[in-house]
Amino acid sequence: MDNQIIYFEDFLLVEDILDVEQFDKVSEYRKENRLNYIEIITKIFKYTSYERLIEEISKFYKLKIISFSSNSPILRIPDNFLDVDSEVANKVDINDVMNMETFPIKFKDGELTLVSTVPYLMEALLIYKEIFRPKKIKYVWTDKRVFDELVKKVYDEQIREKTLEGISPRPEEETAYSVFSRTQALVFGLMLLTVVYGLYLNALKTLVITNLFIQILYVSFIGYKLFLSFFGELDTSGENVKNELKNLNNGELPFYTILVPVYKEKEVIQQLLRGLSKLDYPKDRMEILILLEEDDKETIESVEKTLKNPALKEYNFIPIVVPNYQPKTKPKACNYGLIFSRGKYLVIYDAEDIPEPNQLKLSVSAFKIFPEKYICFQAHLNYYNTSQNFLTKMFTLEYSYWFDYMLPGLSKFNLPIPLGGTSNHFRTEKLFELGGWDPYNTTEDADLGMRAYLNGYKIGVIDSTTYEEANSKIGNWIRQRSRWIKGYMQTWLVYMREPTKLIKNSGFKGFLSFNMLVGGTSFIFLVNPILWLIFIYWLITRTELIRPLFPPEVYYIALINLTLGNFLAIYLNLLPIFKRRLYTLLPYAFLNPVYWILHSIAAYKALWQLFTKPYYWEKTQHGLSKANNLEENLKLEENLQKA
Amino acid sequence: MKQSLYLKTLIFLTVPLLISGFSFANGEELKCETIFKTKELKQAFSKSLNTESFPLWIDRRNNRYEVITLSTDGKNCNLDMKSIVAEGKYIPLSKLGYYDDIYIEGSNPYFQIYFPVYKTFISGKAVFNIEISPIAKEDSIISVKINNKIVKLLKLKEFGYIGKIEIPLQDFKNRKFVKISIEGDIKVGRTICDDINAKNIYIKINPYNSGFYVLKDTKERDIKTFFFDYSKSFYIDKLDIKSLKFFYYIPSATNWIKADVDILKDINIPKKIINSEDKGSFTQVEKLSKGFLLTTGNPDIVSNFILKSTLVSEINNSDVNQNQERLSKNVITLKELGISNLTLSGVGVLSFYIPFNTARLGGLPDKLQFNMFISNSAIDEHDRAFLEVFVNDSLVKSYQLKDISTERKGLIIDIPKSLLGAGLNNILVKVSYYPSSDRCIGATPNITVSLDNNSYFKWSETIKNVSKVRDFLNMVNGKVAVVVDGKPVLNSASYLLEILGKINPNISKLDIYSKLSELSPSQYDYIIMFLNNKTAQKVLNNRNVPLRVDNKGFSIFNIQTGKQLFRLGSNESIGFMEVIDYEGKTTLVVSYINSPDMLKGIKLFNPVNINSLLGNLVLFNSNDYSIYNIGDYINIEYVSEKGLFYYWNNYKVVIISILAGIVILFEIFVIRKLVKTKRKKQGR
Repeated sequence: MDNQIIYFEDFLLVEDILDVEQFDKVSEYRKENRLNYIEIITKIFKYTSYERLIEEISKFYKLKIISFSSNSPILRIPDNFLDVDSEVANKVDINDVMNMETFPIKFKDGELTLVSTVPYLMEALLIYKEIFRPKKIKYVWTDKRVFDELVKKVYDEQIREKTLEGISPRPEEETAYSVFSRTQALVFGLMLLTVVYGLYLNALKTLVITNLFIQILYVSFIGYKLFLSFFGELDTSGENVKNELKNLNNGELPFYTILVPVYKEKEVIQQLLRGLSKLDYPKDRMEILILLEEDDKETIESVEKTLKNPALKEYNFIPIVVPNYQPKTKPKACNYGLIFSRGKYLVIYDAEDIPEPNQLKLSVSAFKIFPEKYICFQAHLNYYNTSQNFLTKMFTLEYSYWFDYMLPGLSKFNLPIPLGGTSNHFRTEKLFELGGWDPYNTTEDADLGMRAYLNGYKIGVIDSTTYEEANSKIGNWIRQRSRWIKGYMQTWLVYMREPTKLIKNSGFKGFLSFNMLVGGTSFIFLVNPILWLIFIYWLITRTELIRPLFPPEVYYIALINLTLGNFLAIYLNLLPIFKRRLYTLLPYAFLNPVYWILHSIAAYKALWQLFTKPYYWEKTQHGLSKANNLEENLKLEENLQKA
Repeated sequence: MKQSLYLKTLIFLTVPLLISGFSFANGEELKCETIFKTKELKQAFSKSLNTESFPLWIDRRNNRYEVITLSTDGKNCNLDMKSIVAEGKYIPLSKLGYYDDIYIEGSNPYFQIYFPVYKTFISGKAVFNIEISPIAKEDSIISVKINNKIVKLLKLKEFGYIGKIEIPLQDFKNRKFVKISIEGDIKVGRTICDDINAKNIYIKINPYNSGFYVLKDTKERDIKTFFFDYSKSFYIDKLDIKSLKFFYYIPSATNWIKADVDILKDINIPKKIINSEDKGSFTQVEKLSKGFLLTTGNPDIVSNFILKSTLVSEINNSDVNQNQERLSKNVITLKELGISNLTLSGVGVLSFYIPFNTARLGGLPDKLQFNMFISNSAIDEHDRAFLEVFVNDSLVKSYQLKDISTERKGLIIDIPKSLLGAGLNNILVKVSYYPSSDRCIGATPNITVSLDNNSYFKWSETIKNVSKVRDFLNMVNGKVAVVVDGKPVLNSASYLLEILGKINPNISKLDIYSKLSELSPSQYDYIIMFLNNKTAQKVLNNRNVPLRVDNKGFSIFNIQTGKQLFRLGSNESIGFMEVIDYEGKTTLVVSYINSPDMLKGIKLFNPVNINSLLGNLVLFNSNDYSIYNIGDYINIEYVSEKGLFYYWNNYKVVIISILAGIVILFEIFVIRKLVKTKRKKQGR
């Protein structure tokens, strides 16, 4: 082994690229962000130009950087570009490879060949010396773009495994891979058989007890929701975050990764890119990873075409094509993106999202003032096409209530928060620690929220809104909603595999809240149509058949559910109307029962799919808004904010 | 087949016999004994009253008066009416319509009863066996009044909690009736108000061993005395079409005691006998050795006399001028119904009972209104007092007495038609007065309430149509034709008319026909037909009636659909009663199938159980009777509709097995497909 190696860190000081103070600053930044030295020096702190640094490195280490000049933003490297000994390469974990931006490709006759974006990086060399004990080290020096592409090829198998089994190792039973655990299946089966046996012994009593059970659960869910909503309104932490925002210095901002999973969304891609470009965050301190699916040629083409626009060059848009393997879900794509993400913080946006410009800074402020255990902040979600039709109005009311009242309530009482699908801002390091998203769960966000809670972390809510496109077509709405409800069912089943463990880890309060919110939501939607049909049937026929099912003790609870339940649901929807002054939506709050019918249809579809296609990702079609172009949407957004 | 089985089951369901408490003179040999002899008539009278061996006779033999009564030693009475100077009768309250224990409640309990003073009255005594609430204090007092004058004052300390009160009845000259009342002044401790509310303060009167012991003379009297005295039994020496009217009129007129009328069969003891043979227009009463004989030239004259006498014979109604016309056709006052002004004082519940018969109104009224005039004493502001009006035990109106003036006021109460029944109905005006506890220490404040008998019923129209046998017998009124078709049915006619006379005195004109062809239905309000089998066939066949007869049996028809439900051919004889519509008139037909002997079974009925005949058809034989309401209310239910319960009950095991099968298959599916333990590696 050549003892005369000068590590890259030493090189920076020896060759006067950086003075000691600059070096310390760069090193400090690198500790928090997965950027390499070259990027931090040239792009973050701009101590020297990229070209000059490359030249200095080349000269010093007598290496030539490999880079491709391609018109396409998506780099396509031939398979035989490098002769890789995959056994050698796979001696290293992909996470370490991405941290060091160095991986081995050949070890022959004591000579170790490494591919790296930063040659002779001390941390990498120390590890590889330990693993291979080489006599000689040879470097293949590439730029970041080429390096990532090579990693995708060389570490394909490892990446696939990580995206499916967790970025960090996770027990299999903590994912929705198995819909039911064996015990669950047996317990549910036994319960059903008990009901059947009860029907045989005394049908009426069995039905009354079942009815009583349903009614008690129902009234509990309603009460719990009311309780949370009442206290949710009192949350005032948003003000502190906004004060901190004023003290933020652009020069100290961390690197931010934005993950944008897209699938068959060529219609909204332009809107997405331009929408994100409006973010008030230093362009050189963020990367936007557009996660494309390999089989989605149209979107890939559209992205390539859009990114060729010189105006977007200054933005760090990085398209990543996720290989085509099952399950083809958003969380799998996100896991894929997570492997290549480098920001201290990470956020997910959907393709059609328009986040409020200061959202990233607000998130940084929140992370700064809240304790370390807050690993995620959820931004509010709302819709820019509210006025389009009944469905979009109801969607707006629902989301406004959820984000204005429910989530602050959950946060206040330190209860598990089911995250929303987008605008979740994470500490990337903690996301890795939690293992990323569950690719089998169709509400990976809710699952992640619960997992964070069980690991002792907290999730906060920031007072910034991301405007999305509300589903304006019933079919599309049901598809989306059935996916969410199915995900809730999966999440409930995953964490209820061992209820005692859940109580132990989350406490009784967390256990109850989880059951009320995640279990209860699906339950209510499934039970609603049955209860309605019974009521309507009785109303029309006045049949005496139903009366025995409602002895006084059941009848009064059912009456509370029917009257107070409906009233509360409407009342809760009225709250955000007054808070946000969306008075035009006032009459729609009273149409909630119609909206619930759609929920119930979606719930039954979800239940069916849970048994038939548990991982199937019901794709929501975007771009249905009448406000099809960005300008119109922004104008809508403006109006909404003014209102 | 099903319908036939259904009705067969129905037809052999028998109603338990309800005959009880009624006995009829049947000529059995009576045994008598002499209790004592005396030379003084007065002494005989006073001594007679001191015995309780009633009935008795005072016989004058050899210048001595013998008091003879029923005995158990088997001696023959061998009484000769000519030597009998007086007769003693015992009339228990149970014979005056009190069948259950009489409870009078409150700290001032009050009970009143009227006693008629007929011309034959010599003397008597009223006996009340009473029981007083055990919580009453010893200084409580019970007073007995005759015509509002105290005749007996009893202190509980001396009288005890259970005892007998005897009140002599005498010196009632020029009175048609006397009012006997029992009033209590019951004292209890400080809990008096609670006790009143809990109905712990009461006096109980036993109706079977309380009543009147009456001594009446046996002098030869006129026709009025013949009918209106304390006798309970009359005998017709010959039963025929003409004498039949007596069977109705006598019990209907003698309405204090409902007199029995029977056919004279044997004479052992003196009796009142009626001979209705036409002997010109001469009518007289003569004393025979075995009783009194009323010979009447024309039964109609006597009947008409009895009918007119009914007005004056009504005890309570003696102050009504019988010639006075009613104010309006559709109005009747309580006074006309025989109810006097009523005044009650006390605490707790004070009740006024107003019985009225819809037959008296001419039918079931469509819209009946009770205009009540009532006044009450002032009520302390801390006390509570309510006035409630019940119709046949259903509350129809209530007032808080504080809210209305204490002056005489008129309250209008609309009586729902649905609460009224055909025949006897009962209005209860209940005043509940509860003094506040702080005013209620030791002694209690009273309320006085008066109900004016000028209060009246007013109605718009009446419905004469009824469908049930009971309703017919209770409702029949006005002009009534009775067809008695042949001798075989004569007995049953006399018996049923007698019962009718006891329960419903509202027939103003009764015409008897021996031939159906002579009847002109349009002249009558109601018709009663006692028919032989052949005439019954003519009347009933081809008419929409529940039962039609033929030579060999009978058929049952649903009168709603006209469908024959079943036919029964039988050699067995059955008697029947059914309500039909005959030429537009509601008609009761009494007839038989096969032999008329079975009509004897009509004697199963009496004034009490007649109220159970809640059907349009009654079948009877000599032992049993069955009631059916065919067409109107009983619908033959064909089990053709198979509901949820039918399937559940019949296929429960199958349904449960299918459900269990589905659950097991589902479970297998879940375990095989949805429970995964080893993740497959993903590849390109």
